Amino acid sequence: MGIDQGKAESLIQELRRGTLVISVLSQLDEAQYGYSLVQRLAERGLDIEQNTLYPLLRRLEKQELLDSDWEVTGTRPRRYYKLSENGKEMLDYLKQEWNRISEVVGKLLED
Amino acid sequence: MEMVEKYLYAVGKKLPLKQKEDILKELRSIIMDNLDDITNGSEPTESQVTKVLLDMGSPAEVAKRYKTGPSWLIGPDYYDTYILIVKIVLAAVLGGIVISLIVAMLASSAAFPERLGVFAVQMLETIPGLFTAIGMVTVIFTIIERVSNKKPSELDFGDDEKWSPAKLEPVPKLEERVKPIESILGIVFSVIALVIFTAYRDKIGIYYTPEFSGNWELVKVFSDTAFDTYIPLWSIIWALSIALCVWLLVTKKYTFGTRVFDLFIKAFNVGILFFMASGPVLFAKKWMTGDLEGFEVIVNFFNNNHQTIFSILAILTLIGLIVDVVKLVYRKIKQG
Repeated sequence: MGIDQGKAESLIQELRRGTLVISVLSQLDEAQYGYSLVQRLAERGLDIEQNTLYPLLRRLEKQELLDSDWEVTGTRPRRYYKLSENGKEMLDYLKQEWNRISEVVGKLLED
Repeated sequence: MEMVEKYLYAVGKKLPLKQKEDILKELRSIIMDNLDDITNGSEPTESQVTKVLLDMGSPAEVAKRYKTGPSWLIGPDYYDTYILIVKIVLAAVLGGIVISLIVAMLASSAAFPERLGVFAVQMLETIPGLFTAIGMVTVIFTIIERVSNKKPSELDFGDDEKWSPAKLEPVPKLEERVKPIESILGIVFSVIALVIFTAYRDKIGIYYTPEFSGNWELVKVFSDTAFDTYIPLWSIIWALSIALCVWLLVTKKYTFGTRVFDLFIKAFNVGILFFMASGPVLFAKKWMTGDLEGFEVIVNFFNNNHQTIFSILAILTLIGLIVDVVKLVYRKIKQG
């Protein structure tokens, strides 16, 4: 009996959704613009839909976890996002929590 | 490249106005980055543009993700109550109208098919009234939704409000509990009054069939001046009462605030009655002809004693108001 692909897909999405913010924050120590961030995440194995990422960046900025600036690089202006001081603290905090969660879940799964 | 402009235009139409320019500027630069990546800087072909836009997602979907506030009028918290009240109001309006029409029809001496025709026309004419009623309920609920809605979370991942059993609200005392039937009746009567006196004010009067014609005729007994002067004031009362009853039906509990609001409505009521005592008389003078002359005595009595009648009504209502105020103050003192 195979698993239900549709169900599996939605459960996996649910799992990934929770990791989105910490993943994004972790890559913004240095300023990135939208597309470069997508590439960077993809290179490291995290495929994220563009229309999910860009609104998320704006919301994180509104929450004062990110700072943003328009800069002209190459031929066109791009909006660069970077961790704010708040964002750095939050990322540290989230990292600890992530380690704890992965340890706990790891143990649960060994049982 | 024209396709990109069309795409941005389509997204822009659905974006919140405040951030529109900025979001579009960013989207444009992102789309160009995507195109650069697959064309290596040369002019993109149409199929390349198509692919990039397909990857971005449909304009509606993209715009939706930028939304932060709630995009509904009445959310799940109040939806059930809203539907309940819409049903009550519809039943009230329809029921009231049907009953009054049936009475009018039975009283008419016209031939049956003709009466049915009149009835059908009258039913059609109720439609705007129904919409007015539903519209009002919707406005009230929209306000309740906006007033009581907690600020929506900026990020759509779990920050449910902290809940603790200690924070549960106390079970209301018996006298604080709202009997739903009272609120429902309050809504029903206010809605009927509001609809009849605003949407149907031209149909209020005595329906009769003069013996010589056998046709159904309406004679307006109230004076237009009286209607013009008083109906706007009464409408405010009815609208406030509907708002109060809906609120009570939703919260299911009398509070100091709702009682004060109730007293405010009553005080307004007293004010209107005093105003009516010194205002124009209720009944028109020039409608009594032929069969209806029998009403003359009654109408003259009311018009001649207009000031006395409404002064008495106003004073009685004022006494009721004072009693209610004393009760409320007493209750407040008792609670400390």
